[in-house]
Amino acid sequence: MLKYILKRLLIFIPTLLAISLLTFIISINTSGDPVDVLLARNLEDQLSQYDAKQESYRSFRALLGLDKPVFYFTITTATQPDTLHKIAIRTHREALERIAFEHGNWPAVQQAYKGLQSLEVASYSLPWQADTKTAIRKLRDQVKLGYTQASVDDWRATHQKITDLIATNTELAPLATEAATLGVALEQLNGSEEHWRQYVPRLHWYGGDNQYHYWLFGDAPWFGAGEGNSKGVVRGDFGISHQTMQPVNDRFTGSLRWTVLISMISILLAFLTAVPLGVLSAVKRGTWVERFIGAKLFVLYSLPNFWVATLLLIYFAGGDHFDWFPTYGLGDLPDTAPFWDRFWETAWHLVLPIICWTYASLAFISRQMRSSMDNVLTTDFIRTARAKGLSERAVIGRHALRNSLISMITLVGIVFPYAVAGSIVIEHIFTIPGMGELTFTAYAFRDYPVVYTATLLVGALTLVGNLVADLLYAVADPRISFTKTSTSES
Amino acid sequence: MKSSTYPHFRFIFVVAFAALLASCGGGEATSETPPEGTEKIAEAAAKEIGGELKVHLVAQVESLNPQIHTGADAGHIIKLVYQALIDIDFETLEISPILAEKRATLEEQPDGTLHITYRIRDEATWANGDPITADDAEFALKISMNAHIDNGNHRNYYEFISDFIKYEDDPKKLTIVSNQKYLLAEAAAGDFYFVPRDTYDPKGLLSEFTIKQMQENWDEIADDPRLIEFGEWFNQKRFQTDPASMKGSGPYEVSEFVTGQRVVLQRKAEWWGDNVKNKSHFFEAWPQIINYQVVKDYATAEVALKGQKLDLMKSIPPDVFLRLRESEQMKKHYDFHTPSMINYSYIGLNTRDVRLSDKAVRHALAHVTNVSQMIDVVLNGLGEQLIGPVHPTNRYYNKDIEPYAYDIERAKTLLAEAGWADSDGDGILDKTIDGTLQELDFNYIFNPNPVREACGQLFAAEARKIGIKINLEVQEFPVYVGNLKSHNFDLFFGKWVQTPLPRDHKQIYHTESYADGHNFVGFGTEESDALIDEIRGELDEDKRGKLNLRFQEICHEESAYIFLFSESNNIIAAKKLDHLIVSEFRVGYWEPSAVIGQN
Repeated sequence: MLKYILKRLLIFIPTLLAISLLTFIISINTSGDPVDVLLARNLEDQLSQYDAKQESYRSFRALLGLDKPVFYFTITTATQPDTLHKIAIRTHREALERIAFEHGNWPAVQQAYKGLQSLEVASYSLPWQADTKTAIRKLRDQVKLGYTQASVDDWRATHQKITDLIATNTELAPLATEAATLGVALEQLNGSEEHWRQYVPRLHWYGGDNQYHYWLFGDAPWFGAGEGNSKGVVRGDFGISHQTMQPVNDRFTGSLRWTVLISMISILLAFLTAVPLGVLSAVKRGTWVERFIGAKLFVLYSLPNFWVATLLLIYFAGGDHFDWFPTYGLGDLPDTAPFWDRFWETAWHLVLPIICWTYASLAFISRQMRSSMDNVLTTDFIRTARAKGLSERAVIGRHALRNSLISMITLVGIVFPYAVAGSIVIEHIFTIPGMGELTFTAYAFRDYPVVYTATLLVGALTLVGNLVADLLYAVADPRISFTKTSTSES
Repeated sequence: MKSSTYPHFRFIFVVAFAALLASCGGGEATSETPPEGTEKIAEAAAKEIGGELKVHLVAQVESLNPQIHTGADAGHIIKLVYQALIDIDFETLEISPILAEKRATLEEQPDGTLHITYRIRDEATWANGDPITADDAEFALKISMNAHIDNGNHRNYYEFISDFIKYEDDPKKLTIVSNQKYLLAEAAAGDFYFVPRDTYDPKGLLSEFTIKQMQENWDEIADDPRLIEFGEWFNQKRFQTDPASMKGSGPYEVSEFVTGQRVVLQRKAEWWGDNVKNKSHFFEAWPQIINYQVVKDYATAEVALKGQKLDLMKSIPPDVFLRLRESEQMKKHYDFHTPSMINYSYIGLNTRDVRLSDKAVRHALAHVTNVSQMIDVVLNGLGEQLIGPVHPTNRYYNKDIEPYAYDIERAKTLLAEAGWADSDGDGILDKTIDGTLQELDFNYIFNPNPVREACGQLFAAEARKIGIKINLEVQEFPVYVGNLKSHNFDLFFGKWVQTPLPRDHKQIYHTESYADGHNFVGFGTEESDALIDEIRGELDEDKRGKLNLRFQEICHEESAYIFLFSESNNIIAAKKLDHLIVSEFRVGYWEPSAVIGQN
């Protein structure tokens, strides 16, 4: 058994790595830039007053570690260089990527791109005076446009406009050399196309200095003291949340606490109610009792939880009717309040959310139980028990129930991830800072460290749940064994 | 046997009960020790006017560090805990001195720099009685200029500051040197928050550096271990969420910060502002406790309001607001306010698109935009039509400009005159430009928002009447922002929120901001660029006002934006809040001025 458990645990490692990799690949291919989202949260023009957005973009990108290559390697066409990730602005990067692909000759494209950069840099050495600044700005505007253009023809048009600007504004004359250099570089693009590269794959190897490696292993030394910002996921450091700049571990600690608590109570209540109902349905098969229970549970299962939650609030939380329960949150008592006061206040706040969390799973578990009980009640040993003259109560309670519960073990595998995944709808309506809300918001804000961690956590607990379920089968049913035997049973 | 039937359930029950116990055992709440004087204040609160004000927040506040925070709610709460030299008065919408005795003295220097001089009030002290001086101002600025702070290099916003002058004969006087004449220099040079040096830099890590040095030679000193250590120290979570560590000179201190649930502010028993004569609203702080309660769902918040569990709520969706306003039960306990928020919603037109570069098409689209209908149907009347980017609260709002009339026939004529016709009989107008047949078939992007979607539907229905097809495309916020930045759209719905400060139009309207600024639509003419530049450097308000009048005319004529409306801020406030200041300035109220009486 121990050998089996160890084997399963070892399989966890590559499985979790595969999950993390898959999540990572999906995230880098998802539209939306985390830095844009972060900056857009302050999309007030007042904050834009000092033309500092670009610098902020670069700083945030470096702060979040997004200036590194994404993975250990990339497989591209032979048109692409291995240094594109160093270009901070996404639109510039994508435009250059397209030009490089279309043209095929990266050194020639790079020369023209550098020509644009040289022009911009040189423009900063011109005297910034009332009579010169308009022309300088126009020139810079053209250069910046050039960075976002995705074809060589557009570059040429830009160069033409720049040349015209220099010709008509004497104050721009010192830039004539840079403009000419750019012109030469653009000329060299003519006839130097290498389209065949579009069909040749190329592998770029970046080594360990990449986003994925950093997320997984961090940059802190493994032994002894030393500089480093992160220990990496494998050492329990899930990084910094892009959204709040706080450690992901801290964010999860708070959210997990409430989600696990509510889920556990809800699972407990669901089982406590559903198992007797399932048994009753099976025992009273074909009677009005079974039909009544079945119909009620079916209706309950069909009700959407946001609707039930809102109705419960309106009727029982101080809306237009009864003010029996709190409307939202988990209580207002500070940590300094007596423990039992806080206990009862929290419990009182959790009543409505737990009802909403529980009722839907009731029907599901109950149907499982009924079906399992049905099967067991038709087996030979139950017939034998009845033939022996045991009372119906003893037959059901002592023999049938125990055996029918074995099939419920399957549900244990589901319970583990369910306990941490949370419910976005219920957490949102009742303002419970749980995992569902955390993960949903993290995705909306492209807060990938939080999204990765949530995915890994749910993945890990699914694996654990399946293992526990398998082990419980072996405990509950002696016919199941994970130890290989040399002789086969007949 | 019977007793062992449900052993697992018992176990689960015990674990669940234990988990509930554990969950009540602290953890997320970071109020380790109650702030000094809390009990005294609580006693006083029971006897005096004041009491507790419960304010609704629709999203959680992540951080109350004045340098590291995001979102308008956090920015607002910070104003009650920390203070700056000046801020905008919520009632007058003018700059009002707080730590400063009066507004800045501005002196243009022969070398082109601008000297912005403030003097800090004599009464201003920290909680321990130490006076707040120019050294504190310098320290606060140095924090901003340290790029190791996790605020996305906020130092860039202070690039205009080239030096900081202190005066030996007057430790309360300071001069901030701006390297240029700039209309927002006074405001920007006075809006940084002060924090006590002994709490935020006990080792004096920044004391050896000067503002001038940090500005001019940052690249050389950036790797100095003291600056790095300070960054790591200041970035700590404790300065963002721990009440024991967050200290400011404002009237309130944070007594509880429970992520995702509430932030509670407690009135200081002794606050320097109480000794100030001729007080502005920034020196009124009547509620003893201001309890910001997070309720993310508006339906839940509506129930909470009906149960009188909240006293103040803002930005309420129009349908919810109107429903509540009609309720007799609500009318008994609450007042309803609809100040016009300083914001503007618009439809942006990509002028670099070959079809939309035709001004006739833009004007035609403006003529089929039925703004009154949008305000009536979508906002339920809770909005105000606008003609440009200057809000009507601004005295230089151009009243002479008439909004484009809703006129289908006029729109048709404009398009016909410009040569747009349905040549292929598909019901959509077209025209051959540079050899290519261009159809007036546009995409309209917006991020998920019922107002934006409904306005788009109305707009598309009207445009169809003149042969223009508009395809609505809802995009997730990150995707939407990405497309705006890369100009990958035909039309989009946008909204800008502003402050009452003078308008610097550069970031949104200057052609230089097209490539990597917020001029997503490619607006701009030579005249508009020149005006924007002139407005930025003009310190005389009247002269600036006249330039703004002309700027609005150009915006109107160009129609790169179809200006729609300013949404009102729908606010519900408990009747027991006397003297609550309701404002056009976001977040829409100044709650410390409210005196809590009997409901």
